[in-house]
Amino acid sequence: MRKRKKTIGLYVAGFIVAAVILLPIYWMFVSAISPKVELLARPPHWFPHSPTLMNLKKLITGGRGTSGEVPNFARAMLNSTMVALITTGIALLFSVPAGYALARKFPQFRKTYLNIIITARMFPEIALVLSMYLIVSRLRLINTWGGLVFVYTSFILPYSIWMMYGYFLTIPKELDEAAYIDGAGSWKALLTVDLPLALPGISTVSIFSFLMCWDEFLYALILTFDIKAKTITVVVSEFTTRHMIDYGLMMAGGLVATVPPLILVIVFQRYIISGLTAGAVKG
Amino acid sequence: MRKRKDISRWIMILPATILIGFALFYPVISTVIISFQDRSLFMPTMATFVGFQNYRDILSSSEFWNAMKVTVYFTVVSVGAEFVIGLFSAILLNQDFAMKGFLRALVILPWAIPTVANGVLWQWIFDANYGALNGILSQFGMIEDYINWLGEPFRALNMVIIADVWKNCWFFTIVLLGALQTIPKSYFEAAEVDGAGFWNRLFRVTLPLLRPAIAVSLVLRTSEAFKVFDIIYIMTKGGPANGTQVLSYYVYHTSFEALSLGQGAAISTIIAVVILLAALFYTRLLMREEVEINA
Repeated sequence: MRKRKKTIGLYVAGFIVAAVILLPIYWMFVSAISPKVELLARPPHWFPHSPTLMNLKKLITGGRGTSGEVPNFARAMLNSTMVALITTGIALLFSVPAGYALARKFPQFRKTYLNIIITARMFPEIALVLSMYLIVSRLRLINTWGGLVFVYTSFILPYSIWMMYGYFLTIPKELDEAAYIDGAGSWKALLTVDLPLALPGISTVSIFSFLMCWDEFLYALILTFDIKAKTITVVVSEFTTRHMIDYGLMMAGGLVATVPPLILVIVFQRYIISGLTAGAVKG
Repeated sequence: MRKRKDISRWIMILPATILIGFALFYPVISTVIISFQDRSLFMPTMATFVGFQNYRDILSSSEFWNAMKVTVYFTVVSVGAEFVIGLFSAILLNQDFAMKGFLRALVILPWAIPTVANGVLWQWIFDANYGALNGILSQFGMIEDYINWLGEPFRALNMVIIADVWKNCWFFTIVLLGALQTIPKSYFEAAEVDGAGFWNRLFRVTLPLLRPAIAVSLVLRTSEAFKVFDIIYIMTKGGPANGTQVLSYYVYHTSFEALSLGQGAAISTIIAVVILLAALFYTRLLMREEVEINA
């Protein structure tokens, strides 16, 4: 009897959790495919009577919405994707050797090094955005992919070094020593022995790095001024600053910005969970 | 042979170190320098040294202390709510029942939604004239007239917190569930046999065993919440009447809207010092935990 009551309780709680998560996501989707008249209905149409792809089409092909020119969404997607990919590539290129060296070669000062990196990660972005702006403008990289890549690297790199260090620690160093006996140098040991074994760690770092870049807003807001470099988050945010907010278009924009990370997270769920839990166990 | 190895380890670590130095530590130092200067965004190359003047101005401004109060409230309430929801949902997802797998896949979804998209979504849900929250509450007869959720300072702050909690509480769920799965089921069964009820088991068995995971996840979320900017910018722009003006937004406003770089840098430095002190305290805590885990 008590057992049965517990089971019912579990299902009730489970349905509540599912509803809390799914209803807002459902509403974003429904609003994106509802015509304007239905969005302004009272009470709201929980199920659209005549769903339409108008808003999504406007985002892709451009044209005029009720609040002016529709921004070039395709270009913003391209900007976000390229900046995230290039940053991730650079972060891996630098952090894999650095993480390896810290895990294997610097027993005496690696704690200090990693502590300094953690401390730097605690620094608020807003505290740096001023001088970042000045540096990037001195490098003449305002409103370019390069400027964003430079700035994003500053917060992705400490994170990726820390993660790669943690991952290399889990690979037995006896494997390296065997390679050394066979006459391999440090680089050869890293590339032929450790790197293949570290692939899951590298995947985790890549996915998180991509997600963090995709999500980034503050720096992109300050460092870009037109569609040549504006990222998806900046373009979506602009819907909120116009006088007449076109909510249907805004939800369509939010939906489009959400789909890539959502797909990544669903496909690579295993890596995400291991990354989050590893981050929490090791800091 | 020995020598070559010594050189290559430096080649491995130096490029990353130089890049971090240039992209991270140089900006930090230059922010601190600017905080002692009078500089305007209009003429960023013109600067005069003013000593501690910027700091004196800020520490005596009521707007700064208001921003501090708002930030602390936001941090404590949102992280507190996220932790409680995360803990109970993690315990739920650690039970054996048919929805377990489905829910475990589900909790990761809000976490994946970009902060900006989450902000516009909740702004629409809370809309004063056509929002879903007003719609649902009035359909159930819980409100007579539509409410302007984001129109009043303190209410707006709490609504933004709800939006933030909805996206971020699942981080605790995932992390604490990961930690719960490492605890042998027999611990709970033994406590149950001893007649311990749910709350007793929670406080005597679950929480003490989760302590390291709780400490680390609280630290991460607290430092993120203290730096909150994106969702405030999207949903309320710090308003109404500065009711949601957190410290980060205050820096943004001072530097890029009031165009006073020196003062913006001074506030930045103050925030950084607060977070650094916390970080120092936290790293101590983390290192201690790590020793315990290894032992």
